[in-house]
Amino acid sequence: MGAVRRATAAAVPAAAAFAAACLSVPAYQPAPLVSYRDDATGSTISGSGFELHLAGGSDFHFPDALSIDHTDVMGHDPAAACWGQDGTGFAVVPTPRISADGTAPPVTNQLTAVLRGPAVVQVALEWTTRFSCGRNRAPGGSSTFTVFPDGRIVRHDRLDDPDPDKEQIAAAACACPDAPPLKDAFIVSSYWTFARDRFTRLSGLTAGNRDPTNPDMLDSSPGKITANYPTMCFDGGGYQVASAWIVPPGQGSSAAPGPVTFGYAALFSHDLQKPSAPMLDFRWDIHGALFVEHAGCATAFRRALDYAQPAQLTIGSVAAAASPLDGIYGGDAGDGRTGIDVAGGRTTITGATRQPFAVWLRFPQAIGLPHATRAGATGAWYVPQRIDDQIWIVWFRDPLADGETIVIEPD
Amino acid sequence: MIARSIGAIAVIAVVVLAADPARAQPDGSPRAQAAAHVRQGQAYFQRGDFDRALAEYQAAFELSPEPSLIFNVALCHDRAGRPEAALQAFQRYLALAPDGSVADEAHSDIARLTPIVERIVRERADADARRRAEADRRAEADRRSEADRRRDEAAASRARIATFVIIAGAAAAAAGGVVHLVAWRTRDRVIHAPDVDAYLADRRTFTIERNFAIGAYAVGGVALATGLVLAYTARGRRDGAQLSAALIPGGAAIGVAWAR
Repeated sequence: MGAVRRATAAAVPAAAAFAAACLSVPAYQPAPLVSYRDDATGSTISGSGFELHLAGGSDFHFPDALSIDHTDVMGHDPAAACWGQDGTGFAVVPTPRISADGTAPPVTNQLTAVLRGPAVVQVALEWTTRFSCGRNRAPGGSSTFTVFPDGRIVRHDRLDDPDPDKEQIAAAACACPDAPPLKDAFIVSSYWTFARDRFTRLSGLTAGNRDPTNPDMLDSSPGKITANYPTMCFDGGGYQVASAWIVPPGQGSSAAPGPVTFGYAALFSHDLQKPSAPMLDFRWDIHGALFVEHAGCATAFRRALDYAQPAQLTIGSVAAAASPLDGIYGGDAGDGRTGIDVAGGRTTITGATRQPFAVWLRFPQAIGLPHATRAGATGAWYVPQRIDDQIWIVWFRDPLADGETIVIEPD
Repeated sequence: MIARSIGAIAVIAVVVLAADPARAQPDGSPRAQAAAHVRQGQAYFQRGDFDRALAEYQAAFELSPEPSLIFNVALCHDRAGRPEAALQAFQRYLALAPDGSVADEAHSDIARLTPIVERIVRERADADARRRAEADRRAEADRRSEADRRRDEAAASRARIATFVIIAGAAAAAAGGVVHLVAWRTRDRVIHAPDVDAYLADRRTFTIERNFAIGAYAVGGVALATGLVLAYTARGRRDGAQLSAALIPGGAAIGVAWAR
């Protein structure tokens, strides 16, 4: 009898807890358009028709695979030179590259998922390494990769060397054993590579050519080096990848960075590289983006051009362009600040974009969910993503046309 | 003792009848009437009819308040088996005639009767106490019986109310359970809402259903608890309330039963 009473006494709170759980109001959890997950080999960012994999283990946690329709299109050359470009990362020619498969030793190597979807995923990699020839130097950097549902991957690289004058090192002393006989100079670059056998055609737009339908067709045979194409399209037939680097002002001068495409035996690279320098100057702050596309290179080029020169929107009373560092309206302005203040808890978006877009909003008080209205729009035409109760990112599936207005207010 | 008393009566009678032998009283005078009563009282006394003798002596005393007649009254009471009245009369006699001719006898009789009367008084007091105790016991029993009857009536009333309240509570809880199941399905739609508008619409519906279910559970729970308390207080001594609970999909069920 006592056991029955105890069981009864236990059953009542258990039933109450069960009932309470069933009666809680679930938060908005839409099917993710992009998602982040850790797995045995690292971590994966998944979108519709594409996946970006970041290396795990003791390797630098840079992207080591970009799959489109389940096909990895990233460049992988088992015979890649120690100093050469492979996978994704930084080249510090003639020293070992800094990438997932590079031989540069990670000293620190921390990947953080800053945004986990359902509309935007952002990962940040903080790392440092050490040169075999200059052990008193501690170069490092951070790279953020912001991934959107439409297959846009915005990359922001910062390289830093806390004490570059502590020890002067010369390229010859640090060169990989198989390094080519270059001048005694360093060449630092941020790069992507793509598998040669996954793409059939390469085309590019120079800074002066903004016609996506009339790019230059490029010869990228092994050993070929092509410069001054900040926007490239790698065409695989059923899919395309456009790559855009934002070249800082001053391009053309010998001291300015420049975009370069290399043709290797098994892969292509598209990088933005600093001018060669006899003494290593590691500091670097650069950004660019990849665009996964299935509608042809013209579309991919348009997207890349729109990234390079984003349309301006009026959000509330604020005129804003998408941050080139993370691709979000109201995103990282370069000083770490994010979010456009929503005065009075309600805001409007007007203007015209040619692409889907995301807006980072900061409400004056906690809200349950931002609710958007737009004439004629139904279904999942926008997806809110909670940062905290006051800060939300809202992804809009469709471009905004002139004369249209989106109203955003708490639910 | 009796012989002595009879002797005393004879003496007293002489005193009354010959109080003034030189002047015979007319027959209608009080004294003559008193003497007649004394004589008649003596006759009755000798025949053992003490009550009539007593009446004659009292009548004589009213006509002629001679203390010795009170002594005779005391003897009559004594012989008639009324020791308390006898003692009282002997004491009255001594009060009227402390040095009377039969004062010694009166003292003797008082000494004899006093413990008897005390015993009688004590026994009467005991009997009175017993009677009062018995009366009190019966009154208490009657009071308890009445209280039991009223309590039983109240318990029966509470039992009827408890039954109604429990049924109402169970109905409310059951309604809450049904709406809970509906809300559960709505909640599933909320979780899998394809877009914000659908989510908000389904969430509004779910909130209404949920609040109804919570309210019904609360009302039902309070009613069940109240009914249980009423049922518990209304149960008989041999009744045993049993409470049991069980999990069912979407909530909990609480059952109450008690049997005689």
